[in-house]
Amino acid sequence: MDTTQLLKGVLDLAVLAVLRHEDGYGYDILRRLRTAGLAEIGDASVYGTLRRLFQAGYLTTYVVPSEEGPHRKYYAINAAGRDQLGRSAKVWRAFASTMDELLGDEGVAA
Amino acid sequence: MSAIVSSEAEGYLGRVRAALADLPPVAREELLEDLAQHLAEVSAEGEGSLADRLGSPEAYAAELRAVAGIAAGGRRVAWEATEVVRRGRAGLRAADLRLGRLLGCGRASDFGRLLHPGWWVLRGYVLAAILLNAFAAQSTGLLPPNSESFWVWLAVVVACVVVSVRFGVVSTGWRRPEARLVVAGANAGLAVLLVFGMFTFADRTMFTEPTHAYEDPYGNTAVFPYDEQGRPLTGVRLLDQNGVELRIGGAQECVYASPRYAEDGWPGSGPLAHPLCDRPHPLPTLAPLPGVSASPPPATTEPTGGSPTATLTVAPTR
Repeated sequence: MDTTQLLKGVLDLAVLAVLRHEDGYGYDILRRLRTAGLAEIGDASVYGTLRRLFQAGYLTTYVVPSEEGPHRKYYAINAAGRDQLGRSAKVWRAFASTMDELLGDEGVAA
Repeated sequence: MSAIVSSEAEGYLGRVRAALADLPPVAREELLEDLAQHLAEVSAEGEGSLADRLGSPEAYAAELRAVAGIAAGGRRVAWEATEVVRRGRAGLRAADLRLGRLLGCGRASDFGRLLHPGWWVLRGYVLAAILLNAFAAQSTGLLPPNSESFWVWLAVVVACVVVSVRFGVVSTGWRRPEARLVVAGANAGLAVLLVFGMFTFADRTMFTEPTHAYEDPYGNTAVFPYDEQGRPLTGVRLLDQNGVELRIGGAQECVYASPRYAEDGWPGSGPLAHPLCDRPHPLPTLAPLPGVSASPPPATTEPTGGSPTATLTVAPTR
């Protein structure tokens, strides 16, 4: 099964989740996601997701000057983003447990 | 080193931008907003080219597009439609300006505005023609009748012109689009009627003209009748196959055939060529028919009293 197809549906949730505790700039967020195990995540996908979440009003941004290289645009989750994260997490957990049960009943080897 | 990296990043950025060239500039720059920073981070972090680690710029662009999602696609279609409208408007504006420069009045639309009052007068005239043709016993098209009803015609025309001009002044101030559309439609309708009116006018002149003018199939422009003794005849009237009087010779030929023209080489208001005009000067001479007793032809003097009168009937071979 292609992980990238699965990622499309949960990218918003994943990005909101990694911003839950700490603000981050684009590449930083990408690294966190990869470190967490989503190795197949595409660079452009993360940036596109950040932009979409910002446009939806779930994130705020601020620019931090950097001495080496261009300024970094940091993303921070806001109250609306946390609400959205809570709702999406619920949907995901329900979906994931349904899938787990489905697979567990069949006795499929993990 | 950093210069090489940044030039590599610039090249990568340029190719991604090129792959998104079909998007409206604002949307494109939005998608590319974070890319420069990202490329700098990736370059700073490790070894290998950008394309090795990020994939081809085109693939990166495709991913940006995909993540932007259906919303971006929808916006793209809408953008293309508005872009077509915008370009059309810009083209019209440029043509307006260029034509205006040709006319020497800034913009062609300004010149059109100057023509509005003229159209109002013409519109009143057309309106009057419609009214008069609807109620008159005999249609005269756009022309005034030459009977005693001329004064009625004139009164109606003046009234309609006044109404049309007043309406034009008032309707110029109308701003509601539907009202302007109605006025524009009415104007277009009247303009079409005006063109039709001109056609009927042309038809009438074409149908009435042949009873007065005779066009010789051989291209002759004058006929000079002579009697059997070779003397030019005066007071002759020629009829065609329909019994209509023949009137060969346009005014121009008449002028050049006039005696005054022959004398000083200057077209004047002298007598005109025959039969529409007077005879040319000098008159050609003709030998008498064989077997006819020759009486000396009065070559330069007009035959006086008792000159023969003849009526010829011409049947042109058409």
